[in-house]
Formats: sequence, structure tokens, C-alpha cells
Amino acid sequence: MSSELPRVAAIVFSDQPDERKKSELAELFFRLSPVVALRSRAPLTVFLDLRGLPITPHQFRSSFELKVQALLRRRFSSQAPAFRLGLAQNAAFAFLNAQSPSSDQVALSPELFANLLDPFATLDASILLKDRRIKEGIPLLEHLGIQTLSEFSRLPLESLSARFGKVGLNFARRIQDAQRSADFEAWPLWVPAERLIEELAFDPDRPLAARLDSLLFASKELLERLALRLRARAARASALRLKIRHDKKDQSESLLELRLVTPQSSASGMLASFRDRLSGWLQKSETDDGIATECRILGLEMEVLETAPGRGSQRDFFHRHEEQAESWDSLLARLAEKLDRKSRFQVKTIPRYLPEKSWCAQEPHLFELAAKSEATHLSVVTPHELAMRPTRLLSEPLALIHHEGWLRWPENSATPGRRQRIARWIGPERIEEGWWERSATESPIRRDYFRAICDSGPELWGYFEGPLENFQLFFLHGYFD
Amino acid sequence: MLSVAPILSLDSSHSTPDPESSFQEKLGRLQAITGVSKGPPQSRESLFWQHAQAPVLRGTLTEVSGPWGSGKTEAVLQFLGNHAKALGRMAWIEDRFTAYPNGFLQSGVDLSRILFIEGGKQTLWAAHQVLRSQIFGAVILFMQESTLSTREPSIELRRLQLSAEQSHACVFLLTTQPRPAGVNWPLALQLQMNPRTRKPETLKRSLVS
Repeated sequence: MSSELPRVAAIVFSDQPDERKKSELAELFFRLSPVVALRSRAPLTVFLDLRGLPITPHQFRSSFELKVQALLRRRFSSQAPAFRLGLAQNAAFAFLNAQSPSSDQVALSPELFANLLDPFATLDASILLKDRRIKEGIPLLEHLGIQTLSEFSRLPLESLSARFGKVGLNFARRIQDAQRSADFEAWPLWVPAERLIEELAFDPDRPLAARLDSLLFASKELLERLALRLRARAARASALRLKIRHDKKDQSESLLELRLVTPQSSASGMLASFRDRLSGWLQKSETDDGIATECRILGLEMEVLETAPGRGSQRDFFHRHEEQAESWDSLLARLAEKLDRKSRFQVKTIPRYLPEKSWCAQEPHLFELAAKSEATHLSVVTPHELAMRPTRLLSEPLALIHHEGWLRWPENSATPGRRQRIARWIGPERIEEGWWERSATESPIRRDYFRAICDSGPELWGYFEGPLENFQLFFLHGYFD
Repeated sequence: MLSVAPILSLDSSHSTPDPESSFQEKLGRLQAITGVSKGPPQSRESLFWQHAQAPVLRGTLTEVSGPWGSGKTEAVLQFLGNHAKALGRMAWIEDRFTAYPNGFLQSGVDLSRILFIEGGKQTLWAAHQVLRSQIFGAVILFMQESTLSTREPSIELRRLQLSAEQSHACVFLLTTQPRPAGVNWPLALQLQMNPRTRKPETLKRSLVS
């Protein structure tokens, strides 16, 4: 290494935080250098191009280290992550320097090859690590007494290509180029993700009242602005955060985060989802300490945390497809927020005879009215089309006692009906299936379904099971409501 | 969206229209086309219910009552099947889901047009959300009497009726007991199923159109 001033700093962190914190760390170092690169794979490293910075040569390393420390402490206070600093003429050696200050004594290893050839970890490391010639060549070099990086660097380049191939040759060149500047490296520059934030600040003398309608009114304006920005980017919001700044003594701001089940781009759709959240926040604040009605809201800040690709930004002049799709997504999101995701569904019929297995719920999708012809839905013939089916089905068949044309309900039954005289039986329709799902010891399903028309009017649907002598039990399975 | 309904609903009985009113009408029509205003009030579209021998107005509430197994669901399904194209998307909301969707097919109802919702205690809320989305032509609400009775039923129904009116959807309330007479319920059509004949009998028909 020469005595020249270093051109690149590598700040290697021992922790591997989540993506958000990684971005936060990278963004922080823009205060030291405008050229920042991030190695997101472990160990997490931030590279800074130091050229053009006002550098004092005297005790550069210690003073720079103190600067980094101060920056991290200012941002994270006591939870500032631990780091090691590496300084060199290029990123590869700065990274190496952070891991081992005396690079001359660094032992040869496949990882060393990978890190020096690709310090930013932009490539798949496994390709380099699994390179057969490197894996086999390193033990051979050790056998020949070449164990460190400095010893390897003294080998003539001509002898390396035959033994280590292209990777080994590149590696040797990289070592010999240790003094070359960062100009020769292609830096994957880190660019902070664009943040979509809109805010409203209120005059302390005329603050916003902590009421639902006021909050919704103000939030609507923010959401409309965000919706415009999203539309311009052909994106939809999938997560939002509202920061409410107020004059509460112990806590100056509240955060409300909303994850939308289906991404949305319209202000009205997002506002409808926020309504319940805001209402809940107001209620909670009131029950906790009665503060909501007294506190004054000084500002609102709405941020889009996550986006998803949006539909085409051009609106169809003659149709309302986009608006309807937006309304549909918004409705599903609201229903999932308040009820349950499985509480709203569409039905898919299954060509099976057992009533309880002849349909299943599926995630709703918007039905395009114009796209479907009349013939399409009649093309699939399912078993229920062969015989009449009831409009109501019990979750479990209910055993009724059948005696001399009367059906009697069990005493503790919650199902409507107590005792009915059957005027007419229509049937049977034998349903026998599912034997392939049952074990050898289980008896196969064989049901004789009847439509039972009661004297008083109602029409029941159920079955008798097994041989004729068992006709004392009628299993009510549904009714024609 | 372009709307031509006001133009079609012009009264042709005026052979010599008043110049002022003619201008107002034209302005109303222009506003309706450009979306600036809703335009002159238009008459509600009605769909004829063959089974009940009665018209069902869009944007109104229709109550179909009857004891279990009396055929109220089948009657509504027949209406939905007959007017599937006119109604478009439908929402079927129940507090506890007991419907058997395969039984809907024999009435000619296309299941892919229906969004099913099991609302529990939030059934009414879910119905309001569905109506507010303005993309459904029919909303069928089946809930226990207790779900509605816990609040002020007439107010709840009035709110529902307003939502229906805004969304221009046909809303059907399936109940076991009809709303008692003597109260001005916001129901445009009130039917009660006769369990023996399985045919609906009209209890109330609103004259509003």
C-alpha cells in the first residue's frame, strides 16, 4: 500500500438489519459523501467515495472513524450499530482492509477471491465459490508454500492462467492493481427509494379538532395529492402511514399504519379504508385518557410505504372499467379489514355429487360484464343440473326421527322446525361416491336423497342411509327455501 | 360517464314548450351529458317480477318474508335469473352463511356474477359498503331478525334505502317475519310467501316510481 490518501472507505457492519434499516444506513452516509454504494449481502457494507472531500491527511483514519461514529450515534443514539472501517484506493481493498488491517497476511480462500473480485456483491457469490479450479488450486498453492495474499501477488501472471483459469488471472490482476484508483471500478450507486409524502401543517392558533369528520376531511386532501402522484407513476398504494402531530404532553405524535389487502390508487378507496382506523384511534384515545377530545392536531403527514404496479394510467373514455375495478378492490379491502378475508368469496362449482363437496369458496375477482357471453356459463354440466337442489344446505346433516310419515326434530336442535307430517316424498336419488377417499375400514357413502314435501308447505331435502330397515332416521341436509 | 337517460325521458306531450323551461331542460340535459349535474330527475327503471306479478324498482328495498322452506330464496333467485343481464353484478349477504350455491344454478343464476359475504354482526355494515361501491345491480340481504332489531330498525332501513337509491341497485331483504303494518317502513314492495302455494302475496306496493 502506498502512502497516498485513501480514495474509498468501506464501513462494514457486524449486524445484518432488515431492508428498511439498510436503506436508512446508506442514506445517512450521504452526509459524508455524495457517492455511496451498498453491499446488502452479509457483511453489510457501505462504500463511500472520498475523492473531492475536504480531507486532512494528518491522522486521517482516526478522524474519519470518529466522524462515522458521531453520525451513527446521532441517528441511533445508544443503539448505534458496531462497525469496522476500511480505507484503500479502491472498494475491493477497502473492504479487505476493514476485515483485516494488514492485508499482506490475509490467508487465501475462495471467499477472499469472491470478495476481491466482486466487493459490492452484485454477482451470485456461489458461482465464484464453487469454481472448481479455485477450490482445487488453493490447497495446491498451500502445498507449495504460498499461503497469503502477498505471496500470491508475487506469482508471475503467465503461470496463473493455466492453473486457475480466467478467475485466477482476474484475481491476480486485481491484487496487483491494488493501488489503482476507484476510477476503474463500476460502482453500483445506491439511490434512495423515492418517498411519497404529503403533509398538512395547521396554525397552532387554529389547530384541527380531534374529530373524525375533521380528520377525514384533512386526510382526503392528502390522499388526493398522493393519488395524483401515484397515478403519474402508474402505481397503486399497498401500505400507508399517517402521522398525526398533536399537542399531547407525553406523546407528540401518533402513527397509524394501514396495509391494504388490495392495492389502491384512488383517494376515495384509500380514505374508506382509513375511516375505520381513524375512528378506532379516536375511540382508543378517548377510552385511554380522554385526550382525543381535548388535544389539538397540529399536523398530518401521509406517506405511501409500499406501492404495487398500477393499472394503465389512461382512463377509458367510454367505459368505467378502471373505476369499477378500483371500487371493487376498495370494497374487498374494507370487507377484509372489518370482517375476515374468508368472509367474502365467490363460488366455484366442483363436479362432484356429494352436496357438501360440490362447491368451494375462492378469492373474489371482478366479473367483467361485457367479457362473458351467455353460452360460457352453461358449457360446464355439473351433477346438480341433473336433479333439483335445495337453496339452503345445513353444515352438518341433522338426524330426524321418521315414524309413520312424520319427521320429528331432536329436542336440542337449533334448526327450524319441530315436527312435520310429510305429504309427499319425491325420490330417491342415489348418491354414492367418495369411496376413493375413504380407508378400507370405513363404509362407503351411499345416500338415498328424497325431497320431502311437508303437509304445511315447506320442502325438505335429506337422505336415508344404508339398508331399508334403517329408514327410521332421515338425515335433513337442506331445504328448498 | 355519459348519460342519455334524461334525453330519453323527455315528456313528448308538450307540443309548444315554454321557451324558458325549454332552455332549462336543454341546460339540464347538457349538464347531465357533461357530468356537471345530475340533470332533471329521471324516473326509476323497473324490472318486472314474473313470480310476484309486480315491478321491482331500482334503488328501492323489497322485502320477501316467509317461514323457513317457504320458497322466498327460490323466488328471489328466479327474479335474478330472469334479469341477470340487466342486474349485472350481485352481492349475496348473510349473517350466517347457509345458502347452497349449487341450488342457485337451476334458476339460471350465474355464480361468477355473485359476491358472497358472511357478515356476522356486521351484516348491515357490509351491505352499506357493497351499496356504496356502486358496482352491484342487486343486493340480497338475509339476516336474522335480531341483527336488525338490536338497533333502530326503521332508521337502519331508511339508511339502507338511501344507499340503495344512490347506487341504483335492487335490494332484497329476506326475512322470516314481515314488518308489521302501521309503520311507514321504507319498503317499495313487501311480499309474503305462502308456504302452501309457494307463491308470494303482495302486502304493500309503493306508488313511487
